[in-house]
Amino acid sequence: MASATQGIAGGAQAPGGPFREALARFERELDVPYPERAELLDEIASDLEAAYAASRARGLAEAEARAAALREVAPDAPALRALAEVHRPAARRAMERLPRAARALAEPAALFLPFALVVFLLASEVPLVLFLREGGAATVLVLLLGGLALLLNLEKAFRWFVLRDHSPASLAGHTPTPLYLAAATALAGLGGTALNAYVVLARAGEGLIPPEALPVGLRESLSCAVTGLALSTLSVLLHGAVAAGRRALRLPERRCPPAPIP
Amino acid sequence: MQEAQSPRGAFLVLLALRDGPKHGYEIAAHLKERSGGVFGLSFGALYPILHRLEKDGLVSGSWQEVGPAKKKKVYALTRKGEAALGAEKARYLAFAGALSKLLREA
Repeated sequence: MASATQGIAGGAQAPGGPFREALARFERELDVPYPERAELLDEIASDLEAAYAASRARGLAEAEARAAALREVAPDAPALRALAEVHRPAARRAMERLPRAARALAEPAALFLPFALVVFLLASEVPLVLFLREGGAATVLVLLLGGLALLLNLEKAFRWFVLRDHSPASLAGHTPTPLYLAAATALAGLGGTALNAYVVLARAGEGLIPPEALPVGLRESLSCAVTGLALSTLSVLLHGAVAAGRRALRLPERRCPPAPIP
Repeated sequence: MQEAQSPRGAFLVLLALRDGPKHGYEIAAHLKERSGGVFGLSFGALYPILHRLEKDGLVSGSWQEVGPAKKKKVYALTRKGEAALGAEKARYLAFAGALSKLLREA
């Protein structure tokens, strides 16, 4: 199905040409989550086209027919507010019912609790802490970078798919930062492992580590790289899932709909 | 715009869909034409009504391809919508009858 969003961007929907600017303005002004917003724009576009065709059939010139169609079909500010009310997501309604103080706590709690639960389960099921300690001090940096990448993706997913906040300010958060952080996590992990291996080999060379303990030392130094690559992969996968979710919801790829051409 | 909030707006839309599925522009044109311009619903009022009725399950919307890269959303009454229309119609008929009686006496 061609979307109005695509229509505005690429003229896929028929009236994308004559009504392009008006549709772009509705897209900015509608406080309706996607994909409902995209479908609503498609609907307005098809009604604009029908009104335009009817005006042309009555003998109106092209510009007059376009103006008449916009007068007849274009939703006004109260209509946009009424549409926003009809399509307000259940999660946002529930949040809005909470007192302000409770709402301020509920959003971070809803975001951090699943994250904390996963960390707790991993820590209790596998000797995670021992494994992380084998990686040395560099693991702290790896955990900070990887954790931040994961949190940024989780925060986006929560805002866009649970709260369904698709306001321009919210959509502006669609940046590749988590990917850069994932790359930094992998590099920090590999760097930490290289540094640990260098130290192990240097100590072995000085006779501080017996030869039979060398494989153990080298294996332990791998912990940092394993942690970094695992967190990095998880972040990239989560980023991909969020991007796929955006496409499924027909969220615009741009950071926000374009400003009208003066 | 008050039509969007009033039950009359919803009733008018259900009435317009009684004789078959229609898209938004057809609904507005149908009401204007059949009521002689008395009950014209602006699109500003029509979209919120249609979407509310769709959410409430009284009408169902579906997309129809009408040409290459062109489509329109067509609304149809559901069974729940037919029942709601019947009940509302009975209410309006009773109201109209009572009002007509009062007007005759005036």
